[in-house]
Amino acid sequence: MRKQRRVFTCCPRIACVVLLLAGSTLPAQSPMTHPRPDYAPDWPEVSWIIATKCTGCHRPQSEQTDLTSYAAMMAAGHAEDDPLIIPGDAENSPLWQKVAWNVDARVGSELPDEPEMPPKRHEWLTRGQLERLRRWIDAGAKQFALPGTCQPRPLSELDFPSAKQCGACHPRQYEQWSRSMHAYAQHSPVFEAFNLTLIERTGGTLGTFCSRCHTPIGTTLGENGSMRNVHRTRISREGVTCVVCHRRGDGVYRASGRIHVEPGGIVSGCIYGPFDDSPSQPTGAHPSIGRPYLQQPQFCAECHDVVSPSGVRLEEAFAEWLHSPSARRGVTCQHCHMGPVQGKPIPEDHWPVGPAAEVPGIPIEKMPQRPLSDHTFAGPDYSMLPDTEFPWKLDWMYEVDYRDESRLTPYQRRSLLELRRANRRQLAIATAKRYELLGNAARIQVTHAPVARAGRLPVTVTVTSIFGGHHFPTGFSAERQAWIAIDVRDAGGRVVYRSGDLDPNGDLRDAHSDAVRAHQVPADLHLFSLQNKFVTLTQKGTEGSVVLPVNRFVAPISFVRPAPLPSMSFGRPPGLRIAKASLPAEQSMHRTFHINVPCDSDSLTIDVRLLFRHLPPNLLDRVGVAHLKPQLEIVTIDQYRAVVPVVSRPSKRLSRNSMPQATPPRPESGVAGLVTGSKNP
Amino acid sequence: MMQSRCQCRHFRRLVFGLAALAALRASADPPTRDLIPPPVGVSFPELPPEPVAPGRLELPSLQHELAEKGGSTLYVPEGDAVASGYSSQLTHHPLLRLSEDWTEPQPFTIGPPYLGTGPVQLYGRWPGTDGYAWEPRFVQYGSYQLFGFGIRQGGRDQVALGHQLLLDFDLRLTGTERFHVQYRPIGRDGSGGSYYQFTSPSGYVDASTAEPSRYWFEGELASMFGGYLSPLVRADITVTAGKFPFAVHNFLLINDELLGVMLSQDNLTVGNLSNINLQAFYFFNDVSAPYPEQGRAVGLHAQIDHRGAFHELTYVYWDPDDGGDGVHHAAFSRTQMIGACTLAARALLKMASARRFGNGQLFVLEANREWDVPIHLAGWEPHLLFANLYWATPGWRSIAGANFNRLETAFEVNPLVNIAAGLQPDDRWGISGGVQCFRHHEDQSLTLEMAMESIRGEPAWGLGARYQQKLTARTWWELLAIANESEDAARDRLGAFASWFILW
Repeated sequence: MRKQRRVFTCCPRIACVVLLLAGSTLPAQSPMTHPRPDYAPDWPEVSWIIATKCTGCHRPQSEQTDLTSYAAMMAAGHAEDDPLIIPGDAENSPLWQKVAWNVDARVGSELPDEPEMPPKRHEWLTRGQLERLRRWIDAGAKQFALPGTCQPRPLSELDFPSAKQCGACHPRQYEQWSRSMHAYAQHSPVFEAFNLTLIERTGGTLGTFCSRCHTPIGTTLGENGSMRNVHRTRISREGVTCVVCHRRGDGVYRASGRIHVEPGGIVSGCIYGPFDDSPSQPTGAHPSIGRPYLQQPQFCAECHDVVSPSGVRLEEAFAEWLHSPSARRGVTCQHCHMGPVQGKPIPEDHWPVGPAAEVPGIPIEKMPQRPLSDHTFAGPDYSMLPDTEFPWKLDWMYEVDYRDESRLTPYQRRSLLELRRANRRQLAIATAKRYELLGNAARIQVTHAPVARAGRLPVTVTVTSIFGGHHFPTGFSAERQAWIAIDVRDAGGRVVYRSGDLDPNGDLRDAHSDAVRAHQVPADLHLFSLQNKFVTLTQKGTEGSVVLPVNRFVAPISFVRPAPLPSMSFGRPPGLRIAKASLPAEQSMHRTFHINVPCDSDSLTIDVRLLFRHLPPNLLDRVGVAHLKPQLEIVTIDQYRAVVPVVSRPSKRLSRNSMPQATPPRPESGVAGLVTGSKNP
Repeated sequence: MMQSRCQCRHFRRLVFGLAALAALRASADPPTRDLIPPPVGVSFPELPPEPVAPGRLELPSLQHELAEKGGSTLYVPEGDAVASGYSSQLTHHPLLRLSEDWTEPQPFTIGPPYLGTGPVQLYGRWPGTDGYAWEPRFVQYGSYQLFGFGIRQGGRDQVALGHQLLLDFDLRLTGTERFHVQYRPIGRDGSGGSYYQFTSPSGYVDASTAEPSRYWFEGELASMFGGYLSPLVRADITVTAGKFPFAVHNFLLINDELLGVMLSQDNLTVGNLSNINLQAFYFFNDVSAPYPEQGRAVGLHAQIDHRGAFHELTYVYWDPDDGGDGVHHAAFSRTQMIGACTLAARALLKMASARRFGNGQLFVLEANREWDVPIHLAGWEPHLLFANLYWATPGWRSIAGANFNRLETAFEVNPLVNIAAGLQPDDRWGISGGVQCFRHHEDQSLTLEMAMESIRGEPAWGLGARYQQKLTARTWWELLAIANESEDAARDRLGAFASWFILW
């Protein structure tokens, strides 16, 4: 009894303590508080894995289990009392059982040497991915979700489909895009270095001006311009990925990359394409709608016509097109850069025809036949990355340092070898298309007397653009170099005349050559170059050519701000312009080189080449990637060679009008055509 | 009627374009236009065989591939070659980088962050079917300057402390349309700012104003009316209206803020003349011509590139409001790069009656050369040698030169600047030359200049210096110094001008 009384008298105190403790753990009942949501830190990665490796086949209205959404995954198999995922029990979850394998190549492991899924060897889950999946299932297989008060909901990597997802049904386009410079746009070590250098030169105020074009998704996700590539998300590193073009519902004209990409999963968002009769519904694929704007040059102009906020016209490809013969003929960017022959304007009804999609599980005969565009988008750029890192990479390379082959498993070694072969094949195709494009750019014509007499021999070189779309070169025109290299030697091989040769650094001997500025080599005063140049106004009113488009002559700080004057009207701000030397479409330029004919030689060998290089070495020096200079390739677009006999006895001087045309080159003097030049020394 | 004619013209162009396209499609072969026959024997590299048979495809070793390509870019920022410092060893140029977490000076913004991250949000659009969308963004930025100067000129001393504030307000609608307003609340127009003068007559010289110095709208017709136009129509004509700065021929012909309207078209091509920019303008107010009457200015300006040489051609007619004698101006400039040198020649002509000081000419030759020397004294790198030569006749006057900073031009040793700002030229010629040096990644700059000028045969000599130094991410300071010597005491000048700037 006493015990009971003691308990009873103690109860109120205990009850108070219990209530206090309970009250401290109960959520505060305030109108501003909401229940804490389930937080599943592994869900974003698991979702990415499944989206990029599985949903090509595992989609709604297909014969495979639908894995395109969390709800579908969790509902899968319940009707047969065999759920795909057993929350808390990864070991017995069929999803886990299908993908698990002996990833570390452990002897005696109970795991299979090869997983059942995914079927492609290079897509097998890595050790890190398997750990994530297992941990996610064991932790309850929850979906990461932000609370409803988090508005607007911040975008994440999951809001934009990866190109790999698109590639599951559009393998042709995916393969072509993978080797394109759109896919390389953010990968490029030169771009990264250039961007970071300009950010430093402008005190950071350049912001995302450059990276907004090169990685629209990354910038949308909050990655600033200073973020290094290794820290960027995967979707960011895809650069100009599929949805950058195919999820743009609004035209913004010359916006210098400020484009709006509509977020949404692969099946929850609409895809815009050139066709209005998409059979998306019966296939369980994404909804799509035709948008003619994708086929207009104005669409390309949203990124390929770039004006800095201060008014510097960095890229004028669209503006040049607008005033070109191609525009007058109705020939668009897409005709030349997405057609079957790069650089030739071929309308869509002359393109190869085939299915634009190859949907797993759907007979190919049921897919509509379309004129097939080429998503390689050939241009003058090319990859300077090792063959292990572009176009494709393997997921395990982010977990294991592939550079040390001795530490790789047999699977990793084999998949790395296959990757390198596949990448080299793609790079070779890209190179062939780049050469094709350059080969359709220009030609040279060389005229001189058939016989050289003592004194001077004029050699006239005419460069003619053979395409009508824009200038040659164009794009970031102050980088592209196209020039005439002329080399005249006597019978003994001694150089009689030379122009267009390079300085010790591999630069043209012009104002940008460090060797010329340091008086180490003479300037090439006869250089016939089509390279545009940035020109800045100096303090004292004179102009000087610069490599980087930043004017430090006038003030020691260069802030990027909206120009306080109507720079679009002037086409440039007062302090910086582009000196344009490029060749307009379907026009010709010529220059005459006056060769001093030596008296003591029987003949002269005249070698003239039209050369192209996509980046100058001095630019790579200034942005911090000098190690890439040996990879700079000089492409011979056209060439001419002739051996001219020298007559030592002087005779009557020929008048200019009676100058005969050059004789055709002797058979052994080489073939006019496209030849790969040597890499930079 | 005009609209229907315009539409009819556009419709004709569209029809022609479609007809051309149809003609192209009708041809059996790919419709190309070969200007000259393609070369024979062209072959492109063959594709390698399918990578399924090991050994058939030549594959360099992984280590060789990585060594050739500068290593991997997957594991360290900017890749192995840059992170290890190897790339920096291959060049004398410094590696210029900010940290990843650098926070840049931001302007005040309403709307998306200026050049920041996040999705592009579109609100509104220009009218018409599929009119181009707007991305409105308001930005306010500017600068504040504190300055002090002391100068002895013509036997008179002047010592003062002052300040200047520039406030810019920019409302962007699209990449090609925007509104802009600039205020200089404590230093109107080209006054340079307000200051307190310590020397006699001492007192505060107030140049404050509530009136904006600039207010204009700029827009491209193809963007504003793109919803009504065919994509093949060349409507890239820019319209500018308001009070805006206009400067041509290196500020020597006009450098003023003028109220008017201007039509421009850029990127025109005629033969192999390229990058042609044509402007037609009409300024009906605020033309600060050096005449007592108010007037208007109407004219044409063209900029042309030809094989890297830059040309400017201008014609302007200044018409007084009272209907009196007008003034014709014509100017031609050509800038050419020759090796490491840049040469610019300018001829500016004025045709006017005696009431407007008669006919006048200004001829200018500008030259500079980039110059690198291996020896850097105390880290200074001589970078730019420059020289100017000019000759002006007594009748020469610029059209309007009010946009020069009146305070700072007094410390400019180059007489050309003062002539462009409106100084009466007399019969004068002059030459100036100097060198600009940089230090510490161009964060410091020193310009030394010498000048000689002859006015009606009387020479004057001058020495000038300008030193600039960046202090922080958004501040810098500047020191100008001048010493002029002449037999004419009125032209003697000795002084210094120091400024501190903050930008945002």
